[in-house]
Amino acid sequence: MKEDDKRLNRRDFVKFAGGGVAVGAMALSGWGITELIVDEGPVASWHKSVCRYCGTGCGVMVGKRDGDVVRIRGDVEAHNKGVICIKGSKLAELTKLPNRLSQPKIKKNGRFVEVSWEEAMQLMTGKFQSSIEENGPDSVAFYGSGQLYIEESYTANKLFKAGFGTNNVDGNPRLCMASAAVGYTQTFGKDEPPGAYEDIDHADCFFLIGSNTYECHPPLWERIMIRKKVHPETKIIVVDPRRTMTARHADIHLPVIPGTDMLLLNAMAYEFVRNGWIDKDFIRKHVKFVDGKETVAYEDFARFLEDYAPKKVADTLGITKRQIEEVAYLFANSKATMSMWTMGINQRSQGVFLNNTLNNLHLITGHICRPGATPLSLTGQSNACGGVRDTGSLSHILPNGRLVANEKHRREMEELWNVPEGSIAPNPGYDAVNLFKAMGDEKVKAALIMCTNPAQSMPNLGEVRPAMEKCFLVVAEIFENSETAQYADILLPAALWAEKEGVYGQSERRYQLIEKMIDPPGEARSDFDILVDFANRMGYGDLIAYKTPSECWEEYRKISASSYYNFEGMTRERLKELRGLQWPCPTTDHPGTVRRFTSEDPFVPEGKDVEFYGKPDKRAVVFLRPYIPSNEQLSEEAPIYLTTGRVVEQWHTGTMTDKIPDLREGSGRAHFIMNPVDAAMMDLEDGDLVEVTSQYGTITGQLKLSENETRGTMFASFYDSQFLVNLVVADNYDPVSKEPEYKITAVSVKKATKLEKL
Amino acid sequence: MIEETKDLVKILTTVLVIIDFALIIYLIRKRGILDSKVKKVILFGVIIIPFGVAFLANYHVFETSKTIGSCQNCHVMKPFTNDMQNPASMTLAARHYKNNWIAKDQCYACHADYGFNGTLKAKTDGYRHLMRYITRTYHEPIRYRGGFNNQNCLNCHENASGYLAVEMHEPLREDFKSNETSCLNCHGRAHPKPSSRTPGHEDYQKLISEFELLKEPKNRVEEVADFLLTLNDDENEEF
Repeated sequence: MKEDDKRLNRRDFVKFAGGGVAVGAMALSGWGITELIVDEGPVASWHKSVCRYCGTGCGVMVGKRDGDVVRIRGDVEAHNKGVICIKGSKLAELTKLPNRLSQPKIKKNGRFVEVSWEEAMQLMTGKFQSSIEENGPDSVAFYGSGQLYIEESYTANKLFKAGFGTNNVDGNPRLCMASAAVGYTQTFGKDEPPGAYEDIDHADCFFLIGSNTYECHPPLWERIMIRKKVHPETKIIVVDPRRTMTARHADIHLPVIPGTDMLLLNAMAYEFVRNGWIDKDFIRKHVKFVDGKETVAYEDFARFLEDYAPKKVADTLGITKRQIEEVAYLFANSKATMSMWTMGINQRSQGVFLNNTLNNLHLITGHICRPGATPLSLTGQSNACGGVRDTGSLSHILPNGRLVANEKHRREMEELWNVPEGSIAPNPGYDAVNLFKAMGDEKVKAALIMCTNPAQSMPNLGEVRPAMEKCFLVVAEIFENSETAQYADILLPAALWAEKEGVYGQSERRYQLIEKMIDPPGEARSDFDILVDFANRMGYGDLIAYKTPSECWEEYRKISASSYYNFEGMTRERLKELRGLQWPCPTTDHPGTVRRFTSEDPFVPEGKDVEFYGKPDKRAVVFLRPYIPSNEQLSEEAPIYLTTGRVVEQWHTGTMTDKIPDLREGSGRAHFIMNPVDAAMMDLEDGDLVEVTSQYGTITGQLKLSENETRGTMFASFYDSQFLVNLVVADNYDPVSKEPEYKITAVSVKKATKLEKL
Repeated sequence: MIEETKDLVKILTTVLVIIDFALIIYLIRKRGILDSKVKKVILFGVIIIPFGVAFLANYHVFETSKTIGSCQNCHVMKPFTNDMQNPASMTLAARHYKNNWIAKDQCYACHADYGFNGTLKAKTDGYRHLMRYITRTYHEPIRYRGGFNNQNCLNCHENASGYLAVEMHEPLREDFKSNETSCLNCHGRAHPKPSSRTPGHEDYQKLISEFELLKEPKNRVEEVADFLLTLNDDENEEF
């Protein structure tokens, strides 16, 4: 550029343009390079799924690369808002466990030998056919699981009840949820909770009773804590004989003596009535009082409660009158109170009464059918609700809230299943405890066990295990070394979790689809395929006409339309697209129902805020339920209560979780835990080997001491197959729900000299 | 008022720029003269001070980019920053903000990879974000490419009493380091879910709307020590 010429000449323009292009090209190529080098990490594709384990039913995202599962993350779009727990975080390892059962096996001369599917299924069919021909349909049984997919439980239930003509269909949900199911049905006319997890985000008072939420439903506990951290005024009340991790974070912990909590619930109701902390309008419109047989007046209820005045029951409960009054105040006077409970309430000889009474507390205070105000029973297993309670896969029920003993209900199901009238037997089948007793009595001669481990999980194993020896057992399993597999005559290799397709239904009436993502090992098949094949071979190919889980779902969702469970609107396509839907969901454009019995529920008439339509008179029932002490009482011979439960790292009998190294390391080996003062009085020290004896059996194990155990109670978990604590656990059960009382066994403890091998 | 290093850097840079201007003017006046004094001025005015200014300016940019205001300059970040400052939100970021678990630089504290001392990978990713933004070649909801680095959590939490009290953390220590297991798995959604950050979703408008942002965290910085003490009381109970 000449000094006297200020204009841009051609040469300069080219220079500037070239420079501009060069800079632009550098910027763009730099960008291109960053697009290439900033990688996606180890995951090639993400797929939505649902956790395999507990009843929380968390949505998970499964990260895959080259056909393998390489990462698991919480699904931020799912109801759990991205929160899962350590077990769910380790699902990738579950898909890679070595030594999976991959070929059918038959026990010959006490040893398993590999056979073809054809040979195994022929033998199975022959045994079932001959047993039915010779001893009648009630000589065979199905023992299923709250972990089977809905399509699987539905198929087994239909095959045995409508095909074989026996109601001997039961399963492990009998051991965990039966009391809650009966409780809801008696109170509201229909099973399954009125509220949802979303209520946690609105509650101002949490009443956790018989639930170690921190360890057993960690994502729900995290949600409770999030609520408290955002709203620090939120109160958490925990009722538990043990000072669990949950109790340690509570505002108030009531360490009641095992088996006495019915006194507390009625004492709280007494306080509500005495102080006028009741919702008279709600009671007038929506509630009635029943003494167990007849409808009674509110005054009768108030009179019934007089025996439960705090000063009368506090000593028996092992807490103070003031504590009861305080908890009653907080429960009744919060803006919204949410109760949650699990096995501490359900696994009790008064399980149903306790469930009724918990529902009572909400009904009389009006803490129900509002955001944050609800009685929510938490579920133990991933599909106990959808798979077993809703499909009616227990010995006394039929699909969608129908009862075996109700002739009208039987006729409805016979019509829906298109089988002749009378195909479904009128007598309920054996419940879990009595099913295994019937095996011991050789009344049940052949049984199919799927997806569960009763040889470790049933109470009073000293009776159950020999009984299993006497029955011809076909066991669909994932490992040959599970406790139950040892008792099998035929072992069928089963697909696990994402190796198959099906629907899970968790605590809050939410149904979610798990899609098949990986292949099962060897020749393993889904339980669904095994059941369809078995039905065909038994001559029920017309009854079980569908061949895929999708076809089965089509049948079942249409059947649901004739009930208050109506989820006809949950097409397979919607379930593939959405993170589950909550029923009722009658049409394909229905968003699902978060709070049942409220104006958003399609069965509540327009213009009404609340209607308990499950009852003929549309009124929920407040039951007058008395306290009845457990059969298990302390004595000089048995001076301490043993109670059992889960730990955060392990799930159920540890068949899956105890094979995952980090979880195994986290939990350590199962052991007894006792308060140091109790131990000192028994002359025991930390680390001692102890022999624990109940009237049912004896087991030796290591003792650890912790001040978090309340005096008079000792704890053990049941995940360890080398520590079969259920050998000493009582098999008392609730007379209505038939759910065993795992939580209370009176035992004696003494120092042992050596570890007895099981 | 000088509160932080970046304020000092800002003043220093401004002073240097003014000095440099003076030196450049001096050089223009001395055109054609190249004595030792001019050489020294050239050394400072053309090389040392401009490079120093460039370095300090870069530093200042990096420091300024730690502020929430800087992050929300890009409107795609609004759902994140608005949610974080919303006291009613239950996301992990909002809880950290509301409870003053992070006293300042609330975005940056959990995304520390982007800072002056951050990794090359983070910087290349930041450049990618910038290019995407200015060329409008992005889609909402924006998403994190790859995985969130646990080290951002561990910077504060590792070996803290609350962390150590959870026994299950111990066997997973290596998993956390390698990001095989994400801290967020158990501790939740950090920001609003992608679907609600998608234009057209019922929550979207609310998330991007201006609302009265808190000028500072609800708890004043001076109160943090007390707050942490109460937190530690809780944590001692094996949280």
